[in-house]
Parts: sequence; C-alpha cells; structure tokens
Amino acid sequence: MGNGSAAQNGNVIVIKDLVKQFDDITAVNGLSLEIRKGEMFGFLGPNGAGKTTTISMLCGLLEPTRGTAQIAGYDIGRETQKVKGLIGVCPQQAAVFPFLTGLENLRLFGSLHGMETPAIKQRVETLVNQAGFADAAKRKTKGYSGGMMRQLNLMIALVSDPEIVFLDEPTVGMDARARRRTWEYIGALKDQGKTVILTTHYIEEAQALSDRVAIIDYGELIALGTPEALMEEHEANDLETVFLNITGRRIMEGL
Amino acid sequence: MNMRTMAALVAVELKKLYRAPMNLSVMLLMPIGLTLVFYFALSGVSNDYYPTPVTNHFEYLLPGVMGYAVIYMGMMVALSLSEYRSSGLLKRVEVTPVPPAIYLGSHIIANMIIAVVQALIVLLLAWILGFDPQGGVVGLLLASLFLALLGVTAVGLGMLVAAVAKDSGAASGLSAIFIVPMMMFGALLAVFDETTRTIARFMPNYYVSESLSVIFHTGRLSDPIIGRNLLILTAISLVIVTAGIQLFKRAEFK
Repeated sequence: MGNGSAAQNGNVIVIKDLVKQFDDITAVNGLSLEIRKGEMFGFLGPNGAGKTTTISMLCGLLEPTRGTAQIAGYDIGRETQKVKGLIGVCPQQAAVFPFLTGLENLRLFGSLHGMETPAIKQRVETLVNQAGFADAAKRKTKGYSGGMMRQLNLMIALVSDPEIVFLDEPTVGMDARARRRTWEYIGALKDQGKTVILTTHYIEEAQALSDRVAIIDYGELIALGTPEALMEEHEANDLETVFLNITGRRIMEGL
Repeated sequence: MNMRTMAALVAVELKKLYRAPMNLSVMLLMPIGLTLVFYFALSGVSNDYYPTPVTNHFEYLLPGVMGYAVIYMGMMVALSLSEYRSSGLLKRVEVTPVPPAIYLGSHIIANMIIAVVQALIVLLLAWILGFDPQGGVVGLLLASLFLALLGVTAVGLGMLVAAVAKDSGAASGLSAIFIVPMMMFGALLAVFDETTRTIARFMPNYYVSESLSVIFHTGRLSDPIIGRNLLILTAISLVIVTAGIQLFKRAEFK
C-alpha cells in the first residue's frame, strides 16, 4: 500500500504544519502529527475545535490553506483520487440515498469504489450479516430509525474494505446501548488490522477506543499520546481532566 | 470503472423517479396536464394568421409545449442537486474515487432520458387527440435528438442554479428566472411579431420549437432550418452544460 517513505516507516498518515483558514477564522492551525499503520487514533476536542475540518482535508473534501499531508505516501493535494481509493469515510451526517434500500446503497457505494460485482456481493453480505442488519437492509432507508441510519452510514464507509477508515463522530446522537454496540463494532476494525481515525467529543469514547489521542483546541494540537500516558502526565483520572488542566475549560462546556 | 460507475449512477437517478411517487407523478402528469390544457384551450382557435400549414393554435404550439416539458427538467435537476447537497450525499460521493465529471455526467444522461420521454408523452397524447405528425420515423428520431440536446441544456441550467442556490427553496425560485422566459418566448407562446421573435432567438428552446414545427408540420426533413438549428442548439447546449458543470464543481467539489 502506498508509494512513499511515510508508508515505509510504519506511519500511514503524516501531517505537516496543516493550516485551514475560512476568511479570518483559523479552523486548523499548524497541525503536525503522524498516525501509525493499524492504529486506532482519536481526535478529541470540543465542538468547533477543528476535528472535522482536519478530517475533511485528509479525505480530500477541503483544500489546506497551507501545509501538507500524506496518506499511505500519497499527497492529499496532488494525489487526491489515489487517496480516495484507499480510504473509507463515515461522515457525521448519515448520508444515504433515501429511495434505495440499505443493500442498494451498499452496492452502489461499492461500485463507486470501483469494486467488481461479485466482490461487492460478497462484501455486502459479510457486512450486513456481521452487523445483524440483513432484514433491515432489504428495506428502503427512508423508513429507517436514526440508529439504523447511522449503522448503515458506518457500513457504507467499510464497503470497499478500506485500509484506512475515518469516522467522524460515529456515535453522536446514539443512546448508551447503541453507542456501546458501535464501540464493539469499531473495536473489531482494529482486530482486522485497519487504521482508524476517529473524531469525538465523548471523553469515554476516546478513552475506550483509542490507542493514541490528539487533543485539539481552537485548531491547535495541545496534547498527543496514549490516554494512559496523558492522564499520568497531567495527574488526571480521565481525559476530561487532562483537557481541563491544559485549557482551564471542560470539553463538554461548548456543547 | 468509469462507464460501469456512470451506469450505476444513471440507474440510481432513474430509480429515484419510479420509487418516489411524487417524482413519478410530476413526470407523467406535467406533460399530460400541459397537453390537455393546451388542447382544450386552443384546439378550437383557428391559426389563419400563422405561416404554417397547421389548422389550429394547439397544433401550432405543440412543438413549443414539447420543448417546455424538457426545459422544466432543469428545475427538477436544480432541486435534486440542492437536496443531495443538504443531505450530505454530495460530500459522501465526493470522498469516493469517482471524479465529479462522472457523477455530474450521470445526472445529464439520466435527466436527458427523462426529458425525451416527457416530450414524447406530449406527442403521443397529441396524436391520440388527433394531431397527425409528419416526418415519419426519421422525423421522430431527429426530433428526439433536438429534445435530447435541449435536455442537456436544461440539466446545465439546473446545475448553474444549484451552484448558486443555497437550498431547494431558493433553487425552485431561481429556476423560474429561466423557465418563464423560455415558456413565453422559446415555446412560442408570446411570439407575435418580429420583436418578440428576436427575443425568442435568445432562448435555447426556440430552436427546438422551430425545428420541430418544420419536422412535424411539414415533414421537410432536409429543410436548411433544421441543420442550422441543430448546430446552434449543439453549441448552446455545450456552452451551458460546460458552464453548469464547472460552476457546480467549483461550488461543491474541491
């Protein structure tokens, strides 16, 4: 996978001095970090911290104002199509075609990723069976509940069996039970060797799922490390306290 | 990959039509309603003062009505793209390896098919109501080519509107800006003298109305008007659809 030195030394994503400005607002300000292959990496921060903007730049949805990023050795600006071929993205807003069934949505997105029909069929069957979604998948998504919609949203991100998966607030709006179930599902991705980049403002979620966490505030990286190391460094029992110790504010304050 | 992907996306747009009852009823009822209104209002009105061989005002205006049914698709495209944008579907497609041109191309093909079918529904109903189209099968194919090119133009206009409009409400309002003049002038509804005909020449559907009039009213398929209008319409459709794709790509895709 990939073609550059970044992929060779075990880092599948390399971000250097990434900046995104919207008029006079700096949404991401000089972000630099590396994400290892097979890592479950969490972007944690309050709403508006720049998490989604960072992911949008990495996925090729937004052009960086300055800086570079490579995914599997491919430059996100110059080799966007190659990057898009490697990644799966689960957006915050569950976006599916309402007049298609769950199965048809999955097959369509498999096709948009250039998969052959037999491979799509096999992959879709695996996904819906794993998620216990086989019956629901036969129905038009227009009648889906919010939870079912989010489940399908996640499966669409995985339909091409991507090596790198971006999950933008995957459990927002879910009840506690559905959230736990989704965590298990996301946790299983790590066992499959996938690199998962997760944005969340749920402290519990970041702690439970992430191998390493980048805490972002006002577009800047304010802490980076394993949850355990960060808590130890800041003499805290959780990442909320880590954030509080660094910024003097609570992550959930802005919600 | 691209042809297969485009075929899958075209199929989605066509499925949307028959899976959503509202879309299907608009597609069927609009041309049927339009034809019936014009038939009952104008079939009894003599056409003595127009230089065409048809005998009543309904038959005179019929080619314009067919073109109007196609132009109306521009609004449907603008609404559809605005809805896809607000539901996050455009971004979802954008993070796949599918180039924007393929995605937008699928909209052009799907809506071009729908537009031609709509116009042919008008013609079929008019035939049932007694209209006798000239030109035979070749004439019908030639007319379909004009309608398909007008369909491309309509999709291009829809993309231009969707690029500017922030939501589907604004898209439907903005669509009226091009639909109303095209209906009044391009469809020959308000073309009574040389001044109004000059205005009509700025409307893409005018070239369809004029050509379809020659085909269906006279059957003279080798009339130089047809070749000239085909060239003009091809040029207009290329310019508008290119502008629509570029502006929409700039507004929605990186």
